[in-house]
Amino acid sequence: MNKRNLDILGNFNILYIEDEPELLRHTATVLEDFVQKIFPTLSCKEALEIIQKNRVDIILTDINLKHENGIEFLKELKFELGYNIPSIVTTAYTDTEYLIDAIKLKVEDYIVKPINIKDLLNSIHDVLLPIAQEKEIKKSYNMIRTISAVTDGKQVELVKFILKNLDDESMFNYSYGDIMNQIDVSKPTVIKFFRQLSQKGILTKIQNRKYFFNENSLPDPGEEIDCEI
Amino acid sequence: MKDFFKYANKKLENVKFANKTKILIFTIFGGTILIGFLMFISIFALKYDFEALFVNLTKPQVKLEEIKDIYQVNIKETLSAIKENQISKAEGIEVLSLAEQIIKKQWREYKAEENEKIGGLPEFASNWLNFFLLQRDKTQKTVFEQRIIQNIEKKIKSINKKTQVIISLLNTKKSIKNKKIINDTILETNSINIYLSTLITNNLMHAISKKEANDRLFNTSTMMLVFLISLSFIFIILVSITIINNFKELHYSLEENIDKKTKELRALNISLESRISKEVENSRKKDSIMFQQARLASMGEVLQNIAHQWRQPLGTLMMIIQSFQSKYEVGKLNENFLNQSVDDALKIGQNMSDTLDDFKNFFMPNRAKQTFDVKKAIEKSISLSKYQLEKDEIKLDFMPSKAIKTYGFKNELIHVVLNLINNSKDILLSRPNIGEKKILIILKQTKQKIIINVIDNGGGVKNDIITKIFDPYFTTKHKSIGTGIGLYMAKQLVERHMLGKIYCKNIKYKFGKKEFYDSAMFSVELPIEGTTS
Repeated sequence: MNKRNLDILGNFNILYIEDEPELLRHTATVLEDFVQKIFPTLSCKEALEIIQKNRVDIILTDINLKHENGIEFLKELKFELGYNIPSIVTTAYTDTEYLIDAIKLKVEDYIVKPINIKDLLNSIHDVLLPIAQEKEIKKSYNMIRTISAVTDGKQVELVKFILKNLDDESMFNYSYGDIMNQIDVSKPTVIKFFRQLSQKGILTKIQNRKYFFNENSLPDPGEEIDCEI
Repeated sequence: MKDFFKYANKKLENVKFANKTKILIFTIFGGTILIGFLMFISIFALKYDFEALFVNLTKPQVKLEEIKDIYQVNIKETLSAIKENQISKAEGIEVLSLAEQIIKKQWREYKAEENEKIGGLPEFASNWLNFFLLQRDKTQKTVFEQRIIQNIEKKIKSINKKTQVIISLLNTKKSIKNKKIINDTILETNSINIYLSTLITNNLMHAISKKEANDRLFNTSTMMLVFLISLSFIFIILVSITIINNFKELHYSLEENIDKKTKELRALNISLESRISKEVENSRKKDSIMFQQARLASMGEVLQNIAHQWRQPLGTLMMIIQSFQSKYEVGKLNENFLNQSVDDALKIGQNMSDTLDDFKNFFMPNRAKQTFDVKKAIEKSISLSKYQLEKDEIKLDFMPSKAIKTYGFKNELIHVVLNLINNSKDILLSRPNIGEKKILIILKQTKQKIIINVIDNGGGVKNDIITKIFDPYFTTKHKSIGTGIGLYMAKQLVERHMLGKIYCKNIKYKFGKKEFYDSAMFSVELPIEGTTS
């Protein structure tokens, strides 16, 4: 397996339901190093209170709880209370009978006990990654919108156009004229912008009407964009 | 009467067969001798009767003799005396009239006696006698007799007349005529005397012949009686001998038969004994196999328990181990965490070891009796079934009294209680709509015994099967769950090894504050003897 970047977990809160206190305590001790906050709990009732009072990004629950059933709790949460929180169930081998229920419920993952902590962390990571990415995209988008609000709008429009029309090999097959036909910019602006990109090594002219867009030479947004502003 | 027969039968039962036959023969002999004796007595009585009758026959002759004497002495001699004038006229008249009167009376009496029937014997007897009388001349005799009697009567009348005439003549004192008449009368008197003598002789002859016939009859009867009695004796003896021989044969054949049958029975008995001992051995083997099976079955359940009880701490242990690595990687592996985690891990490990010991103690039992606490034994049973009960959401309460020490097989008691808990658990699981599933175990002690009650709210045992629930291979559960051995084994262990009792009844029990539940209560009673303090 690829080594995952577990740092993304640091932004999430996790709810952990396990009826065995020792295991709960020790697992929580390990997990607390990776996540923003962990809510360890022994019962579904407590778990519901936590969900109602706190932001919970992911639920980790055992299926066989004392007098309760983790799957049933998740069902209730999803279908009756309307919470849509990604969840991972842990279970002993003997409880495979709940597997079908778990699949129908679209539980995100299924961890077999005894828990391997690396597997657990990877699983949590995999579940949370799309959410983290979505957050990241949203962040970037907001960033772009912020930039376009304070800088020249034409340049942002140009960047958008270039990224939109890249082919599979990151080639941009347009002449200046084509660009000007599509968006409302003056030729000197286009030429100036292309020259700037080519200086940074981002856009390299291969031949006429054919440019290569080099992703790797993009600066890290944190530093470079600050400079630009 | 019935009682007497019963009594006699009882007495006879003890008498030997040979003696019985002797008694029978004695009775028959005695009976016949008695009958013969009675017959002799009666025949002698008959003879005596006849002798008496002979006297009766001769009695009238005496009267005739007297009449004859009166004629001879009174009339004839008086008349002679009158003729000779030896007596006075008055004396003569008086003697004559007296004589006449006496004669009249005697004759009347004789006739009356003669006409009487033969007295003292009933009709059939006289007929029977007549049958044997060889001489029959009665009618002939009667004609002859009648004529004599008629003649005598005529003579009596004429003498009477003549005597009257003489008397009247004597009164008138005419003596000439008198003499002639007197001579006539004397002649007539002589002739009547001759008639009378003839009649007497005749009558005597008659009586003698009767007596002779009677003697002959008596002799013949006696001879016949002797002959008949001996004949019947012989016949009876023959019959008795035949019957007795027959009996003897029957008896011996029966005895032989009985001997034969007895021998056969003995042989059968021996073969049966060997078969029974074989079957007993077989059933013992079956029992031990069954026990083994039941042991395995409960071992399986306990193993499942152990497995679960191990899986939990094992998971925790693995988590602790991984936490070292994880903490190290994030640089938080400090002394505090290390100590805490190692302590926890050791505690968990110790617990796991204890669980294993429980298991080992339970399934590798030492067969020696020991002093143990019943309360603790029950608690062990509960802990061994804890996982299953928790999994099936059954609430088990234990209401112990104080600690009760007893002396016996600890593991077997644990096993029994475990079986009862399992049984209740299975029942509760088969009733889906009970609501709260509950088992209650009560331990108490009386003066004589220790009582363990296991109560569940599973609705009780149906009456038609309540007597069968302790039978081997009896189960109401599906084959995959029940072996049908659990309760049987519990019963065997309680009754054979602990000398206690186990039984089941349906009760209404109040669980907590709620309403009464239909409940089955299984009770184990253990004797308190052998308890060591």
